[in-house]
Amino acid sequence: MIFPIVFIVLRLLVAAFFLLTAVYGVLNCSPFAFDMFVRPQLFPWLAQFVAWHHVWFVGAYTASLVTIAPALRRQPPTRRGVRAFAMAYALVLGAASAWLLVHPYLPTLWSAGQGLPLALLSFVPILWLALIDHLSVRPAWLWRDRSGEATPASSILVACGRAAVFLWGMHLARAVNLGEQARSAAAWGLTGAWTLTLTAVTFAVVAAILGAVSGVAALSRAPRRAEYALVVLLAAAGIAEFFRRLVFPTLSLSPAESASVAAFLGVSAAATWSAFVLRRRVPADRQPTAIELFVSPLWSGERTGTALVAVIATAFFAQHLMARRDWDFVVQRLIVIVEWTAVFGVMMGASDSRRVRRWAGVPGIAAASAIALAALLGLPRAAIALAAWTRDPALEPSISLGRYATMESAFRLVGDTLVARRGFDDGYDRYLQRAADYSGPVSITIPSVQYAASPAPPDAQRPDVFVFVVDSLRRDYLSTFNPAVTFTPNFDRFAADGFAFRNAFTRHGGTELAMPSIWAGAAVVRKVVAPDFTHMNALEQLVNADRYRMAINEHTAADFLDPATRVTAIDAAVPNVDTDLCHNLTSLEGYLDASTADPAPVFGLFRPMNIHILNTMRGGQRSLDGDYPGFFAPYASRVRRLDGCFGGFISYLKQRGRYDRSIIIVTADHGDSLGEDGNWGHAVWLFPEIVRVPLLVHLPSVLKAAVTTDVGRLAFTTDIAPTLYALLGHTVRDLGPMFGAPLFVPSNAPLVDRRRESFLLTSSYGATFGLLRHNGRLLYVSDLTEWREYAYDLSDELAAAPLVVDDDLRRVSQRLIREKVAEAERFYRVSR
Amino acid sequence: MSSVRDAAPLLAPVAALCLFAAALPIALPAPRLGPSSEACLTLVDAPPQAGADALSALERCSAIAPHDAELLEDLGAAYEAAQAPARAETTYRQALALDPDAAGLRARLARLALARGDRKEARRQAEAALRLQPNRRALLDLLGVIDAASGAARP
Repeated sequence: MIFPIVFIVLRLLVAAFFLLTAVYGVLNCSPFAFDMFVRPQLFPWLAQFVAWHHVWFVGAYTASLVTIAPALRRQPPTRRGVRAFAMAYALVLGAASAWLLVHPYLPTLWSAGQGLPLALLSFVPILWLALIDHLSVRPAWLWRDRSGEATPASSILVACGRAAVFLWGMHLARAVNLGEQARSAAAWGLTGAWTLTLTAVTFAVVAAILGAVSGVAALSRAPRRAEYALVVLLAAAGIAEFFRRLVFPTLSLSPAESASVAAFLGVSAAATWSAFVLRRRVPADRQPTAIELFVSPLWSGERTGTALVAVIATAFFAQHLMARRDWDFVVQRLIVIVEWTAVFGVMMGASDSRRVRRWAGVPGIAAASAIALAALLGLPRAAIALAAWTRDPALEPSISLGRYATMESAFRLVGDTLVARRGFDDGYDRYLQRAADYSGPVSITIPSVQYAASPAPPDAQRPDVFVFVVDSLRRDYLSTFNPAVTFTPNFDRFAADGFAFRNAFTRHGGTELAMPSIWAGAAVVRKVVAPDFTHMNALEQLVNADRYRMAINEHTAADFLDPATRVTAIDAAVPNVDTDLCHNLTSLEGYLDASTADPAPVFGLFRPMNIHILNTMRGGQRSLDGDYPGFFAPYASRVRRLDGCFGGFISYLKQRGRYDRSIIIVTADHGDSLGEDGNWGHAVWLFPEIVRVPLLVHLPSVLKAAVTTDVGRLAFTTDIAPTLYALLGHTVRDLGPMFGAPLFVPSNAPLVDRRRESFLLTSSYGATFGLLRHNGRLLYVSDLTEWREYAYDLSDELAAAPLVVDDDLRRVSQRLIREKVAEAERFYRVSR
Repeated sequence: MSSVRDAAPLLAPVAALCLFAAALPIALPAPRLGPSSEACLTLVDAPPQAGADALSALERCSAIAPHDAELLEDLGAAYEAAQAPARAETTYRQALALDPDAAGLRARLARLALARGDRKEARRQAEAALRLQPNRRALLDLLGVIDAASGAARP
């Protein structure tokens, strides 16, 4: 016999180990997740875990043996099966431990096809241990006592009602605290009505499900045992469904992979929790029902207030902690689920089933469900009427629901679940999901593309070229674009001396596609980074054709540059996530000084990660140097540092006489959300602050005098490659809407604008598609990850205004997105 | 009879679940902002050719979609073609308020201002266009014309 606390701690550690192994398997079976999290070594502790996995395995195995020690001892004849089962576990896992010590397996797994089997296998020990527990621990209240009753419906209803009111009040108070102070009374009133209705419907559904469980159990001869089994199954299904629908799609797992991993995870988690529950001591004078046993930490109604405060405080603290560290709200949603379950559990414990009338809750469940549903159906119409009456479009449900979601993850979760804001039809959603799915046997053909219609004339200028693609740099954190910014004087001087494109965008949210699109000067699709990418790698072709020497720090390029291309890797030893512009520039200056004898011009391309969300969130999200009112200080302070280093580099070029012999471009692969609508980072989104980028260009004075441009035109980072071709004297082909176009033309040549074209934007990592129209003033997004569509008016350069998505806008935009996606698939000959 | 009584507790929750399954997730009613605008939303892709029909289509659409700068620019051009420079200028200004970075609109306004003899306004608009399209030969030529007109106008 071991102490229960020791048992729980050891078992949790064992479960955590195998769960982490499964997570690593999942990350490996999703190319996106692998490239996003594993390859760049975003979490150094994960790399350590992998390296020492075999040792950890032995530790977990030993700990698990301690927890099943009682079952390994000699058993009475009736329980010999338990011992055999435990012995089998000890032998099989022992053999696995020995094998792993000799052949460490996890370090050999590198974006390989074994990711899924590993993930599934990792759940086996957890399930095995839970099964041993269930066979060896047979509490009398469950196995022998057939008199135990099913949970009365009235208890369930009362607990659900109390939980709904309590959670609504707490979360609304938190939303008021966090929300916009300038909201009107009507807006807050509507917020209260929406959130109350959504919370009430959620708990009405819970009451109906648990009422049905208890009703079915009541029909059996051992109601409590039947109810317990049903509740465990229900928990397993709920956990599996949560992960299948809300977690795994954000990691780009295929539906089959999601379903299988979610099923194993759900069963493992429910079985492990059940194993803990079975060990609870049940007082003889208070026989809790199976639902109470499974969900409630307390049975007596004592200390209910303390428990509720503890749950809410923990949940709110965890939400606060994760708000800026989360990936697509996954953890925050999980916190909400746990919090709501815990509050319901506390309320179940507080409602003594012996004091309520046995079937009083049955009509109550029906009535509560009908009232809650009626309120939910009626509220949108009332909101639309209120929006029309007050002439406040912010009250319109499609906008207001989104705003509530930004204030509270709980509202986001229930709102997304209970309200369909999408208007996807005619298979549009399936079409886009399929278009975004590059898992499995999807093949593409990289076309051979050349921007140059003719080589540059021999006497063409060949200035040095420096392209700085600052990962996640937002345009509104540069004083050139935002007068409120005071911390980027060097970028501002640089822009004033050259050209600042006011209306620049990336074609792709997320680095994975954004960087290849800059190299190719074209919108790309996933899987484009293949050996054949050299066929369309415009910048690489330019470097080779014009005999540049390439000096770069761009980790994504390692995957697709031709080995024959002459490349000097700057700061190659620095891991991707740690790349620092200041260090890059110091190294670059050293390289330039050391190679002055080399007559070949330099092509430099750098993608520093200084202000990537992974870095701004590190170290307690601290500013490097003080406060930045109105800005996110950890980000702004790093931008200030970048500005200083960049200014130093410009001074260096001027001192060396190279400045007027250089083309210098400053841009970003994408922007970032820094708290807008509660979003942090860029994940799978295409929000305005993510797709808008800065674009600053400096030209040698000779070139500058000979060309013209339109700094107000819609520009893309895919224009950089053709622009360089044009500036270096090549005649540039018009390759069509998938490609970029030169930003500069001879001063007497006609300028082509993009006011009448539509452009597809895609996420690098998820099924999110955007459409940019009207010279970049209208952004429409179909987000199949979150199942919502939204639109923005980007006329104001600093503040995007949400637009009401009416039927006409939706129809036109969906048609255009579909056409553009089909165009891209035709271009890359995508074959599924 | 007893089995019916036993099953009774099950009926209400199951009925409620059926209700939820049928109704959830609820679909928000599609907002209707005004008359159908689908045709107008695509007008920017293929503006109508000049003529009375085009003018009437553009006027109808600009009333439905008053925040479409391209539509307003097309409407202004249609007014110009219809020899209605004052209406054209008003419409261009509406478009410019929506898209202040549209150098083409500023050039159009500069020409209209010059035509009605307001050389100061013509120069202001042309210079603003030139800030957006530096070095552009067409704009430099326009400024030259404005300067020449100013010189001719001087006593």
